[in-house]
Amino acid sequence: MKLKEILLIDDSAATNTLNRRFLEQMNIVEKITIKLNGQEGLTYLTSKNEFGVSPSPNLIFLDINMPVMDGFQFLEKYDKLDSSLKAEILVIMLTSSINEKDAEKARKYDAVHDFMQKPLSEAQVNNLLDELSLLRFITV
Amino acid sequence: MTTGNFKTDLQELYNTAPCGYLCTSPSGQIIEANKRFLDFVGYTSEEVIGLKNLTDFLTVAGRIFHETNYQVVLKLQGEVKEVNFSFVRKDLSQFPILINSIEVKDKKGVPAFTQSTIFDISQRKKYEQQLLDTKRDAVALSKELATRNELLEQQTKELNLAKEELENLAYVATHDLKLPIINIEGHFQYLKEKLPKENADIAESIGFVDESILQYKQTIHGLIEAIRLRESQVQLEAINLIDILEVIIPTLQAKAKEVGGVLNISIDSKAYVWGNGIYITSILQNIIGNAIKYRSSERKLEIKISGKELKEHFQMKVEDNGIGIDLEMNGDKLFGMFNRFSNHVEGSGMGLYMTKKMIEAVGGKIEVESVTDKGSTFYIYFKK
Repeated sequence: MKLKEILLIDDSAATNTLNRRFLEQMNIVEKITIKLNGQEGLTYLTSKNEFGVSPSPNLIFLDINMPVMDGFQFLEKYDKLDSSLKAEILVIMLTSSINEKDAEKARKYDAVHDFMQKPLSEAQVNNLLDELSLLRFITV
Repeated sequence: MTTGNFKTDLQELYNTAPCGYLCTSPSGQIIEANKRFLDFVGYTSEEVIGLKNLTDFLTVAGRIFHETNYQVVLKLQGEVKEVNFSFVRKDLSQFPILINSIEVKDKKGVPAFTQSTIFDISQRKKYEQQLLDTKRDAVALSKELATRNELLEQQTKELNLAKEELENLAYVATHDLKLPIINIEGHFQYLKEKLPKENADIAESIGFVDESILQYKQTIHGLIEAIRLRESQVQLEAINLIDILEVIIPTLQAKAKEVGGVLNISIDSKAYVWGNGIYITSILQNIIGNAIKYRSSERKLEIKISGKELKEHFQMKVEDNGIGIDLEMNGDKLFGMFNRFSNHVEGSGMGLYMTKKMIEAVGGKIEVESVTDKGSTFYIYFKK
C-alpha cells in the first residue's frame, strides 16, 4: 500500500534530505516533493499541469519556522484554498519547537491533523498510514 | 425690638436668645426656664417650672454622669463648663446639648441657685461625626495602601530573583552547550577524512553537518551576547558620529566594492550624540552590513547614508536598494530573536535583535520602511 505523493515544506535542506531518505527507505510513497517555505508550498499546491490538474499529495509535513512565509502563515492561506484542492490531504506540523503555545496554536487549525516533534520516526509514520487508510484516503 | 421699656426688652431678650436659659434650685428643681429651652424640649412652662428637674431631661447614662461628674464639679468649683449631654424631648426624641452652669451664692456664701446656658449642638455633632467618618476612611485607605505597597515590594523582589535565576540558567545552559559542539566538530573533522566523499549522498550529508555545526555555534554565540548585553551597565558619553563613521566606513566601502556596489555618505559636520562608542560602532556596522548582505542580484548595490539634526534627536538614515522586507507579513518579527526573512543569506538571525537592544540601551530608537524588491530604509534616532 503505497502513497501517491508526500509534500515536505521546510527551509532546512539538511532536514529535508534526512526526511526524504527516511521516507524512501520505508518505501511507502511514490513521489516526494520538497518546498522551502510556505509561499513555495502554496504556489506548488495551486499549480496546474498540462491536464489542468493540481497536485494533490496525501500528506504534507509542514515546518513552523521558515522565512518568507512560516508554517502558521501558510495555514492561514491554505484554509482559504478551494476545498477540492485540499480534499485528500492530511497536514502534519513537524517541528523542533518545545513551546506549548505552538502546539495549542496548531491544533486550532482545522487543516492540521497532528503536531509532531522532529525527527520523524518509523512508529510515527506507521501510525499516520493507519490513520490515512482508516480515512480511506489511500488508493491501492 | 426695643420698646424703650427696659423690663419688656429684657424679657424679650431672655426668651428669644438662641440658647436655652435655665435656673435651678440647689436641689435641682427648675425655677425658671426661657422659651428657647422649652422649645428645645417640647414642653410648656406649666409642665416644667417647679415640677421638673434638670435630670428629667437626661438619659440614664446622662443621669449617672450628672451625679458622678457634673454635680461634683459644680460643688467643688462653683461652675461647670461645656458638658455634653443628650437631652430627651417630650416626644422621646433625643438631641445633643452643651451646658454651662454657674452656682450663685447668697451673701452668706450658701448656694442660692444655679444658672445654666444650654446650646443645641446637633449640627456640630453631625460635623464631628462626618469628620470622624472621613478620618476612619482615610486610615482604612492608608492601611490598604500600605498593604498593597508591601505586596508590590514582595512581587518586585520575587521578580528580580526570578530574573536573576533565569539569566544564570541561560548563561550556564549556553556554556554547557558549547563543550559538546566543540567535541562534535573536532571528531567530525576526523571522521570526514575517513569517509568516502566520492559518494554523492555522503558528500551531501557532510555538507549538512558542517553547516549545522556552524549554525549551532553562531546561535550559542548570539545567545551569550544577548545575555551579556542585558547584564552590562552602559557608560554613556558624548560621541561624534563622524568619528565612528571614519573608522568603519573604509572596511564597509571595500566590502561594497567587492560586490560591485557603492556607499554614499552625507552628514553634517556636527553630529554629536549621547551614547556609547562601542555600541554605536556595532549598531552602524550591523545596519550598513545588512544593507550589503541583503542586496538585490538584479541591480547595482547603492547605499545612501545620511544624517540630520532634529529637535531632541539626531537621525541617521541608511537607505538601500536591496531585496527589501515584507513588513506586512514580517513587521512584528523583524527585531525578534532568531528570525531571518530570506532564504539565501547565512547568519544566526540575532543581528537586528541585538542592534535594537543596543540602540535602546543608549536611549535611542529604530524604525524601518521597506518595499519588497525595491529596498529598505532604516532610521536610527540617537539622543542629542
